[in-house]
Amino acid sequence: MSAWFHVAPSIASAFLASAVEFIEALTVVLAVGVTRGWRPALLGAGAAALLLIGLVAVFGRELGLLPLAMVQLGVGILAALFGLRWLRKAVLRSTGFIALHDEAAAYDKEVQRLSGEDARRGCDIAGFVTAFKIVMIEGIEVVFIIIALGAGDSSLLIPAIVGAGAALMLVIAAGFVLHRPLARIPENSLKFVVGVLLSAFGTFWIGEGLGVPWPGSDLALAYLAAAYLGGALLAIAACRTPSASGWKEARP
Amino acid sequence: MTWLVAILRELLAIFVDDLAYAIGILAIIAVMGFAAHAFARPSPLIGIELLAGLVAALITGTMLKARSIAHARARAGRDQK
Repeated sequence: MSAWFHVAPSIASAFLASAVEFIEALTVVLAVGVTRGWRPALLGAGAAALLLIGLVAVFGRELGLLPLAMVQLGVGILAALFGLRWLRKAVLRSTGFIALHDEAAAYDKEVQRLSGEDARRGCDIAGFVTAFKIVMIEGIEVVFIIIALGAGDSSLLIPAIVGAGAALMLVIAAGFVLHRPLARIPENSLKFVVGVLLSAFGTFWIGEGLGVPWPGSDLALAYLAAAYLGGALLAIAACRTPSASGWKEARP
Repeated sequence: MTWLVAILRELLAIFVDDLAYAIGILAIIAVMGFAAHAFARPSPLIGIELLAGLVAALITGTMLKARSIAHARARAGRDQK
């Protein structure tokens, strides 16, 4: 039971965060497949996946040679920057200050852009590069998320990989069955939850890297996440109260 | 080559899309880092202060961004008229 309590946050966080990234990659790869053909789409996605695996194999080993406190601090800082950026964006989206991310609109935009490029040839560079780029960027984000979740405790690395792997299978299966972007997934809510979790993990690792003892040890993750959730809800309330922030006349 | 630059730019944007917000977060972490190094055995209070600082950065950063977006929209609305 306690082992499950130890690994469950890593599995859930990796699953949710990776699902968001895989859905974004799937949208663009589908757009490439539909407009330029499945050959460049799958070749681009496959090449990026292979390069990622190679990079992880090379740099993953190097990461293990660094002092643990340095890894915890470095990864904690990056996870906090990543999580707090997502969380702020999710709050601004939920209060209408920035538009919600719409996979259907992103798909249409990509289809329109790719349809305007040169007509298909034997080797479609535009399609290949588009698929390669999106899988590379979203893939690196997933790799970073896995490292961020398992940085300070190697027993958390496998659960994080399992969570991300499950998300990959699910998104590929959904894309294979539906053949269109997964527009009904509440992506902003997912990003909100993931922002809270990554901020909590980032803060936890920063503390561990600095040698600060967290009251409650691993249980600290629960109150760190609760504090970020409370802060985000407070920010939402503040954004919805124009007088509290002095932009009464400017707010739409 | 431009796509490689685009990948590198997007990789940086994973962590930083608003320099002021990122600097604020890094400044809080740096202050807490100095505080932790000042003691042979850092107090658990430093962790709580780190959390409070980062939550405050989230709230302040969000409100400032909302404010700047609202002002930009209002300005754009006035220009259209």
